Amino acid sequence: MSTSLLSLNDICMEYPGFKAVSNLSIDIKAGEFISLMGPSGCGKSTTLRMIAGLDSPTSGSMLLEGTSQLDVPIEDRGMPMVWQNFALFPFLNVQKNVEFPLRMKGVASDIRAKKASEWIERLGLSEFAERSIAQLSGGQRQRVALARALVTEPRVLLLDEPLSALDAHLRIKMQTELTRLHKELGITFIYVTHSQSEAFAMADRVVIMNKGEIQQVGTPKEVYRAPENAFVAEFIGMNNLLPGTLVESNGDTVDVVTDLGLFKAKPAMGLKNGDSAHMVIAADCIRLDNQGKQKVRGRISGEEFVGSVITLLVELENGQEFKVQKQQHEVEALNLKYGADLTLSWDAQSAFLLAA
Amino acid sequence: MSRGIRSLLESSYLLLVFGFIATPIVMIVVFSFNEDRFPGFPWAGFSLRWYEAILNEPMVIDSAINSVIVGLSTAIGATIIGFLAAYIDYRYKFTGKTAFNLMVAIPPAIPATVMGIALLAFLARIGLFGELKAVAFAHIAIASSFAMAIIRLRLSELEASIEPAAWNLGASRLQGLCFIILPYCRNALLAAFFLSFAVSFDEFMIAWFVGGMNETLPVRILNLLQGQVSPRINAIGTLVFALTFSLVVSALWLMRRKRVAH
Repeated sequence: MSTSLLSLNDICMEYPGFKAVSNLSIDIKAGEFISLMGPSGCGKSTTLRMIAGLDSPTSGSMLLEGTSQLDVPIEDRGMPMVWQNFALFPFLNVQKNVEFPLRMKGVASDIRAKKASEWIERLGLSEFAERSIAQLSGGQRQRVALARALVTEPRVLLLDEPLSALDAHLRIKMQTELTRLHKELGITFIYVTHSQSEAFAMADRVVIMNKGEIQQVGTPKEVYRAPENAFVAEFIGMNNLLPGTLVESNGDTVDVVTDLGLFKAKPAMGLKNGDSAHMVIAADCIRLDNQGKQKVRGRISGEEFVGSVITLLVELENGQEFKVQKQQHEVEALNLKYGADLTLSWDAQSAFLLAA
Repeated sequence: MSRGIRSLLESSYLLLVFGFIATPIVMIVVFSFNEDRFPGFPWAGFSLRWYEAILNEPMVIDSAINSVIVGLSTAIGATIIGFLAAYIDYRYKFTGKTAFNLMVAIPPAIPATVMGIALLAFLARIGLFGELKAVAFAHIAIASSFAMAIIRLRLSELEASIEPAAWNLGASRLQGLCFIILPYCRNALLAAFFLSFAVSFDEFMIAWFVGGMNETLPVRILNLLQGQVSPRINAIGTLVFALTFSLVVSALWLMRRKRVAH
């Protein structure tokens, strides 16, 4: 059982007229790779900055193994950050950049040179050690930033959207490297991103945030399969939401009235007859073969081709757009045209309810 | 109007304007090497006698030394104050910041005569009148504005996350200042130093009001002019011009934008 390393309790960051972070509470475990994710402005970077000490919360407590962090100055927190734009020191070469944290600690120059060289080698930068930062590519700069952050062997590494300045194929490569590093080092990684794919690929747990509040915390699988509210259901994965009202419970299904008619869905805990709810159907659970008992009619309004999987956009009678995810060869077989009418169907057990 | 004629006219106009400005200086330089004591054409012959003359005049040498002392003090004082003001403006937000920045920027805008008289009255009261110190203080006040502007310009090019990154990696505020900010500003600091020296070396009005018996070189020049007009003045002028010109050009060269990403 992992122990809680860093615990944030009721952390708030309030600006005049605006709450960047509201009552945020989370226990971060030692050695875990946890990702804070959400849309722009959700407060994830603000939270990371507060952990680093760059900003002070307006209220709440932050404990590192029981000791309050809030009075600890930035330079003593021991939580180096990897920045989105790298923040490498422009007038120092790679070696000197990596040595910097050790120099601030007062480590003797021969020892720090040796340690820095070890990390430079570990991140594959040996041939660039004497180069100036300006001569490096984006990916190389990112690795220098990593080496510089890890050279003091901290217990916690903070990462603020470190991959967003890199191009797509490099991003994938770096994701693998980060996962590998995390496994090898066994330290805690706190990773901020707006990209679902990054977070899901690397993190042990994800914290979904919106408008300064935590929406859900869980493993990627948990969050994907069982979103706890409408925001998470829409932000994560590809889900279709239909608002409606619960009218009757029939044991293993419930009846929901929507503006597209009556549907059956899986029962939900805590919802009773008369409650407003969102009916959620995952895009890959929708059938095009008219075999499901729950049906709607719609018209094809678009298509997103992402390789082996195609997302069909279907406009329904109420103006809403549903997404249907199918394997490319299945869609091809149906020979669908833009504007064509078709029937979407699904099984009642594929639809679940979330409180509105 | 065709493009060719247009650009020809523009170039000629520029040449005329710069020529007009530069001609008196060029005359001074040319006639400082003239054998004859009266400027006239044709030229009497190349000679360094006026340079020899001024280098043998104790009052000229003394005032030059005074100018150098005041200049160096100004350069050091103004660079330090200018740097501190620039850093404060870069790093902090506080009530009264606009007023603060205004205060730092104002001295060069005050007419030198007004400054001179006001300082005269003030310094006489605190007993500093007639001392070189007083001239240095006044020059530091003026030159700090230039120094602050130069250094602030350089600081504005520093990526905002660099200093916090240094703190995050274990640097205290002081260490961040010494190991990140100062090295980054090195060229701007040098440029501010040179420019402050040039500003002080050239300054006449306040030095004249406040220096008393301690003359700086520009004050000595005035006294020479009031006595007998001699090509010695041309020689002094040429040397002063050469010095301040090199200082200003060095400052400009130090502040040039490098093409490599920084």
